[in-house]
Amino acid sequence: MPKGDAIGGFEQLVLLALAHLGEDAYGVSIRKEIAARTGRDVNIGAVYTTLDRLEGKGLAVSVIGEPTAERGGRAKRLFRLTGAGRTALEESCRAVVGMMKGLGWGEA
Amino acid sequence: MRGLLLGVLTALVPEHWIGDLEEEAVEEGDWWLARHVMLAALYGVRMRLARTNFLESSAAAALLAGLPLVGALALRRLVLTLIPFRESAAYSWWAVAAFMILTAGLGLGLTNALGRRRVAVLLGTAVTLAIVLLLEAPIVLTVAAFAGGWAATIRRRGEMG
Repeated sequence: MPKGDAIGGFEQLVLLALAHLGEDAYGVSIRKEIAARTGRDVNIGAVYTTLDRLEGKGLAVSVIGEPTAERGGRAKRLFRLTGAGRTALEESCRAVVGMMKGLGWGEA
Repeated sequence: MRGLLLGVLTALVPEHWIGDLEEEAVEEGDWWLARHVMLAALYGVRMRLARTNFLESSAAAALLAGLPLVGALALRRLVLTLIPFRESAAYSWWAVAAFMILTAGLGLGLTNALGRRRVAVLLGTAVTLAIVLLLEAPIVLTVAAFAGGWAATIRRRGEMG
């Protein structure tokens, strides 16, 4: 992967949320997934700014969904991981796990 | 109240952001919504600045630099009318130095917000200069604003987050 395409810490969290959520990944569900798993209350703007960047890198793609009443008639923008996104995420997670080995943090 | 808060965002962020906030607002309090609307507006403005073209950036630069600068100058005039010995040369130089620091800080924030667009900052500062001259304010303040922005531009090497 070229240096400019390396994924950052928050990008990694968002990609992991996409991987967990599958077909139902949009702003609210991604925000909630990150909050539930990390305890971080992130802003919707941070999530979408990151998703736009990931889309620019070809690691995620989006489609506009149907408008719904509970959203004031506004449509969702649904995201999913691309093949390149999954590969980048796996590499990134492997690197983190590799770096943590031997530290004794969270190891059974 | 909630409608007003979300309405503020209409001009600043894409529609799906507002839809997301409206969906979550059902189970959250007013304070949560106000905080998230404010943050979303900041992200929206920054995203727009990063995407906008040269002329739009220049206009944004003029707005971002010009309004606080003119406000600060108006405040300085007010303070000068309230403080005794306002003709003191020493006080005058301290005031100029304080405003130079203020405008340099402003230039730093401005340059970062515009993603290191040097020419945009230059044009924005030119517009600010015109505003300041029209109000007969000291030219040194505008020069300081430009110098601060330029120094920050040269110094900054990272990418926008």
